[in-house]
Amino acid sequence: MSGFHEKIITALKEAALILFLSLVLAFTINTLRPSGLAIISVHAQPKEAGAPMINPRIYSADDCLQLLQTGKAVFLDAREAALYKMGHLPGALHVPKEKAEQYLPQLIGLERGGKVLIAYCDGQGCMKAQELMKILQGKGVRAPGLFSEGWEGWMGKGLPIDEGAGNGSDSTSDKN
Amino acid sequence: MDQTAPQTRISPYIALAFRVVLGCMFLYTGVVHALDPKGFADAVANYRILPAVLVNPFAVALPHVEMITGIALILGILIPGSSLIIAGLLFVFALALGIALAKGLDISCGCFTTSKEAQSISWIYLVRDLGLLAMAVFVFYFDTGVASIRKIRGLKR
Repeated sequence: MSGFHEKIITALKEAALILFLSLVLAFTINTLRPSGLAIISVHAQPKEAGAPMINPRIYSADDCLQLLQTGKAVFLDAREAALYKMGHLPGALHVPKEKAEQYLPQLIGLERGGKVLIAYCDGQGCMKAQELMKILQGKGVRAPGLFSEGWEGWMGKGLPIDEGAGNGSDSTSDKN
Repeated sequence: MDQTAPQTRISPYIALAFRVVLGCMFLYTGVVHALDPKGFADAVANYRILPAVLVNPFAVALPHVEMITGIALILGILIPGSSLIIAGLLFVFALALGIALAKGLDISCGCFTTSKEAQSISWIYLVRDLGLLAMAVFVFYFDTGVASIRKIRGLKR
């Protein structure tokens, strides 16, 4: 029994050493590498509403680009119409949360057709995309995703954009 | 004449096999996670278990713990410590998977890939994790350092 006790003590000491070395290495490399994460920051997490909802998937800019190139993604721009007109992700539909119900049949049809719906707004701090997702999920869209880096993240990487009204019918109708 | 029970004689070799399998697996997952820190952080966040402020530090630290313990197991260095950490990690992963499945979350595992298009988690993932946990416990109990760097070097001298 004492042999096992000694083994546990040895294992704990070794584990502490490994963890210490790993942490030093991890945070040093993270600081030095350009794609390192901000350690002291709040990672964007979709807010949960009162209603039970399936956890939305969070997509990075690279994921979005890949899905875009394979024709699987349909982006939902939850920002104001004027910002959408100035520029939006390629092929994005302008779906502010106020117009969510109007687009619901189309969005459900797209999802059933195998498209991945990904909502975005300005960037990490904005809530419009999350609010839009919450509404869509409550109305029958099964698994809308979130591009949490948003427009700022997309532009920051110099990725392609579309300009103009796009699905401008709703942009126009914003004014009505 | 060797009076040792057959299972006791075989156990170190089974432990060696498990050690190498676990080592390669953890080294691979560590590299995959380290290459895409943002994607891994998103995968961690999707579980909604860690507070948002801890997601990034966890996503930075874990891949290196995985890589170092993986290398240690393959080389046969600090085996008790490495197998203890790996068993602990697999236990935590099992808990996270169990909670996510119980909540009915439609998320990707984030285990061997950071792609969002990976298959959603299922109970199979939990069973696989518990299998790996059993292997780690076996290594902790029965590994005697067969084919470890120290023993290989000792034999050469």
